[in-house]
Amino acid sequence: MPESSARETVIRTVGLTKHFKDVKAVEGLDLTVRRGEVYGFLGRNGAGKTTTIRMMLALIRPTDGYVEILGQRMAPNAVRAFERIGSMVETPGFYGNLTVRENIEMQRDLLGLRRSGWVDEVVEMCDLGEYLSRSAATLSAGNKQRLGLARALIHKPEILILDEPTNGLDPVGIVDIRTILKQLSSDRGMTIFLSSHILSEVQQVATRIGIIHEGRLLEEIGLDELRLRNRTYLEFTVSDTKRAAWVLEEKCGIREYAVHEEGALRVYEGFDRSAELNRALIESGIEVNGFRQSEEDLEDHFVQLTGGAEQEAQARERSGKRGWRR
Amino acid sequence: MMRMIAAEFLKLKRSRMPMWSGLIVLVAAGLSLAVLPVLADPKTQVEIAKSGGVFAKAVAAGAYQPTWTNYLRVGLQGMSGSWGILTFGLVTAYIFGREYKEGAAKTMLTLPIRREYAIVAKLVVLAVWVLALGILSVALTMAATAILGVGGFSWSAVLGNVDDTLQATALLYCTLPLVAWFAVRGRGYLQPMLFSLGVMMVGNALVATPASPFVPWNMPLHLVGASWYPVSPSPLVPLSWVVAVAVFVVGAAALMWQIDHADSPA
Repeated sequence: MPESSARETVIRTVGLTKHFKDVKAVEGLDLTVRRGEVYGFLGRNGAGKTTTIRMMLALIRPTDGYVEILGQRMAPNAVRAFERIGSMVETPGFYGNLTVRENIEMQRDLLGLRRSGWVDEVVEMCDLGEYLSRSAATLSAGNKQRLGLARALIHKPEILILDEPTNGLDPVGIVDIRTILKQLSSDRGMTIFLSSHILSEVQQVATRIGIIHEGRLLEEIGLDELRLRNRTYLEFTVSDTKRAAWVLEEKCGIREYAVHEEGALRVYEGFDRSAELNRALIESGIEVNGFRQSEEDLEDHFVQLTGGAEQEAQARERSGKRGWRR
Repeated sequence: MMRMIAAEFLKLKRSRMPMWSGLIVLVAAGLSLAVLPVLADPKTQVEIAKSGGVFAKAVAAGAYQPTWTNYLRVGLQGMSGSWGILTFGLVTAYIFGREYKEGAAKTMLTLPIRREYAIVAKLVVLAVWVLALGILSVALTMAATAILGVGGFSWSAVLGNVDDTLQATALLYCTLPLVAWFAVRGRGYLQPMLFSLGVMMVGNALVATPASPFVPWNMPLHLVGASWYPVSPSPLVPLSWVVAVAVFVVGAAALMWQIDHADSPA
């Protein structure tokens, strides 16, 4: 049994569903997050990420299904669970008339934390020292995000739930947030649930990802497993993909290939025959404008998965079928 | 609970809303200062009586004779029937709708504290705020009356006015959880302000009807009178207070339900 699956499940959604009138925002979502994981919750804009997170935090009620965090069913007033959760949903909101320090101290007081050292600790971690006496309303987007994170972290939660934490940040701000998250994961073993539509961001911090598309969870996979599954391929950029496919199939016996956009054709076998394949294409009068050996990354995987799901959805619509499941 | 109340008060630090609400009371007292001498002028009173308009009956009834009792009552009537309902509504909208407007509701609602405590803490702050505005109104109306040089000062008139002000403030306070419900439901300020405006108009429309002592938004006017109709002050019956408390309970329950059961995506 892999190490991660032996760990305690700390977040679990069971058949989680949310409909807003006719809009099916989230549909039968079953996901699990284990202790210590950095779970990247990936999806395009409008895929259902924020709705899922809001249901996790009991900000909105599921139409069906439920969320369990640390063994407790999430509902308004799930006080015991909230004591162990830190969260930041989209752009954090503050009391703009208060200073940064007052905002953090108010959070500390509300949480019943007596030690002022905890404030200093999050201030240092989130690098807010020079802004403490500034009014929260005058902070830049990046610093607002840091303040949101500081408030979420002040009680040293076991689980951190973040919705698009790098939204609207400049590249330096993104790196800063990423560094903090990595630090929290490695030093404190904090479980982090992080939603994003920025694939490269997730790839750099997550240990496991869940891909949501049109409200459905398409896949949950460990990043290590994904790397293993990533396929190496030969990519030919040709003038006529249709004819090139025929040449590869009929003349070279290639069966595993895929035609991509902009004249690209990917071959997933016969890597030791690359010169032969290239020659066969040229001899058949096909212009080969480019040729490279490459590996699929998370972006390819995501596009393949969500693109595939879209095609399936279209097919389903055409055939009038409903209620499919991957 | 005490932590929540302290936090609610801290949220007002450097906020301009307390100052704005105080300014509204000041302007209301200032208007009395400007209008009452005109209405009290014998020549103007003759003109008003001749015109036969809304104020003619009031002038005939001696409602604007320059006495401490009359002047203090006119100030209180303004609070009970117009600016009080709107200003208290504005304050309520601010206290309950602010987090939704400024995006801080999601932080408040994910605190490890029962949401009902947040509601109670806000209601406590609201009570202190409207009480302060009521007392400020009495003080400013007294100041205005003194500046106008109205004779016949008596402590009994002042204390009677303070008593009526406290009762009117309490009656209006009982209606505010419903305003708060609109603020939470509408996640901002527009719905509660429209509601306040609507109930102010309803209250004024019912002022001289038999329903007057039983309509929560009309009870303060019934208690302190409306010199422009004119309607004399009348004591409330015990059922009036039962209705007022029932409106408070219904409003508070709706508020609790809203914050516990309805979606709060803000």
